Amino acid sequence: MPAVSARPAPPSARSHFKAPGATQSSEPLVAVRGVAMSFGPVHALNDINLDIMNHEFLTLLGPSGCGKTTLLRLLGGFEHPTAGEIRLDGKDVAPLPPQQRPINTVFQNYALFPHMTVAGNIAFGLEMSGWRKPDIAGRVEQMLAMVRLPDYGNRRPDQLSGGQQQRVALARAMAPSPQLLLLDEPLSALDLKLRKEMQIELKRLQKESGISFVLVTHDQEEALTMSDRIAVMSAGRILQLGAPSEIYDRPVNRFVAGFIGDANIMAAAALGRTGGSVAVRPERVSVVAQAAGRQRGTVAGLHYLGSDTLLEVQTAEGMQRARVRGNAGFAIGDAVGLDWPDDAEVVLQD
Amino acid sequence: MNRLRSLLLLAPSMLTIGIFMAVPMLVALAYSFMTSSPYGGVQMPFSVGAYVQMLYDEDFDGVQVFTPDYLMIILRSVVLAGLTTLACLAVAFPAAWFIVCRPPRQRQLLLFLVSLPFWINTLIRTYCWVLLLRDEGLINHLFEGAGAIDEPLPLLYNDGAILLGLIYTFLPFMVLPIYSTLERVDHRLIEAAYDLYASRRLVFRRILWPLARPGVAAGALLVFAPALGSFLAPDLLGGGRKLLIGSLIQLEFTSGRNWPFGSAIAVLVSAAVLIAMLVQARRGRSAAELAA
Repeated sequence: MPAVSARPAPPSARSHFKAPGATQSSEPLVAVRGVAMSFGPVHALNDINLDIMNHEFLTLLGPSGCGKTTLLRLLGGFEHPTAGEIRLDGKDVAPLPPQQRPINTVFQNYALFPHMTVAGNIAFGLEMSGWRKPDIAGRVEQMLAMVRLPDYGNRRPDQLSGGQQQRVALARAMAPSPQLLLLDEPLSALDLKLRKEMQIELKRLQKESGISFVLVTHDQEEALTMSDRIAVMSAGRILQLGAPSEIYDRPVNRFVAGFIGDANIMAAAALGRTGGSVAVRPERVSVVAQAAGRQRGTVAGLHYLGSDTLLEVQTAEGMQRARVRGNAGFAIGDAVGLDWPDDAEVVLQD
Repeated sequence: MNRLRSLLLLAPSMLTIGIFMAVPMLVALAYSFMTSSPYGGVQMPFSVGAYVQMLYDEDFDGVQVFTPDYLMIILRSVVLAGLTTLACLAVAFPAAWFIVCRPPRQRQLLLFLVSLPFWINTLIRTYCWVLLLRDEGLINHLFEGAGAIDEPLPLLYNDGAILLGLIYTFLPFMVLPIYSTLERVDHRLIEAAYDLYASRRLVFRRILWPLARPGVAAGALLVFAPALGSFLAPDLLGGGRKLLIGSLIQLEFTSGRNWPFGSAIAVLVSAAVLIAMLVQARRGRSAAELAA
């Protein structure tokens, strides 16, 4: 496996092929400032502020229609914001078209050129950015090896499986060594097993290449597995930005708590706290004798998940869930109490 | 059983093509090897005289003399049909792309407008050009009224008028096949090409053009073949002063009373078109095999 960092020097004529990390690492690679986007009367994005750091794997996570794909398209240059700046190396690139940005994209359905071979696809970006012929052949070989598809150069895209097409799309986008790689739901077309493999593969490619990745997904598990940081989005805004553990352990509001992982939401007053509501993760909840519980209720549902069992317990605060190890031996109708450590309680803003 | 059923389903179209296309072409082929009868029609014996006539003329002494007259007619026809094809392509490609880029409802309307001329008889449409282009026609009237010219411009009865008529008649046959291939091109391919640093020109040359090529080839054939054999536009707009293949064939079958010669030229044109179609079909098949 050739190390990606040992890539051939790109043609010096193209200043924007600076090696990743050439900027000071304390400075963000991309600074999104006050960006808004409307399509006619529809506000797709409102006042987005976001820093993308060098060598970072950042995920934009949210339900469909939250604006995550629009934000990605603004970064790629396929749309231009109605307000705000997108600074790359201190320069506002918001009005620039895609071909003038050192940013490449892996499209949702790969968008491989059907009339070119795999090698032709990977070489395309290199040819267009002025690489010399002899350098291109070597670079294509290197990229094919990187995505573990050596000897596939002469195939046509439609002779490849979905997973292989995905790898070619990655190789094509990474070949010109962009400063930033955008991935638009790249794994959504793959089956579960392949998706898990590609998650690990993507993470490896990002680490080895040192290129900053921005991934768009609606799959919270995918976001938690791969990201250095996650931006949770809803209705055109970034609700919370932070490391996966931070997002999971300290969600700021109901939406984040409910979208990432499962959460029991209770009125703060019922737990003797101030604030609006409190979230408790089901796996932090233990089932105890009714009298010893912070909440009391009866078992209303049992879902055996293999390693765990999810109990649904009807309480005065509504239906609460507890995730307990193994087959816990409860039956529907059992009177139980629910308990959790103090630090499991997260007070939500709303 | 299945084979039989599919044969039955194919039978009506096979019969139609057989009776109305293959049989007449075979008849024309047979006629081209016969001798002309003085009152039109053909008679025995078999002869290759019609084909010889294309290149050689019999002078008063009965000696065969080489004459380029008919070759020139064929050449002129090929050049005019070729120019028509190129001009149609130059107009149709941007038009087809424009239509593809509209929202679906507008696309339906625009496609309807493109096919609108089919609703009116070609003869009438061609005559309308006569009314527009002649010395007392609308265009000359407008220019004279505006004081731009004193003498009417010689717009009618020249090669330019023929070309205009041919382009006008066959343009939809170029727009529709190109549209149908461009419509299937995934717009993300174009975004991907821009994303990979391609300029507008290179996006066209490396992505759009190769993907549209089957439609361009189909359109070129649909325009070139009928333009080559067309006689309406040459007769009405060209004034029939300089012959083209189509008018020549028509002439030989009517006032010329030389059916074998007319058939021989028709066979030649059909053969040329057939060969072009076979070449294209083979190219299409090898492309399909590559893709499979």
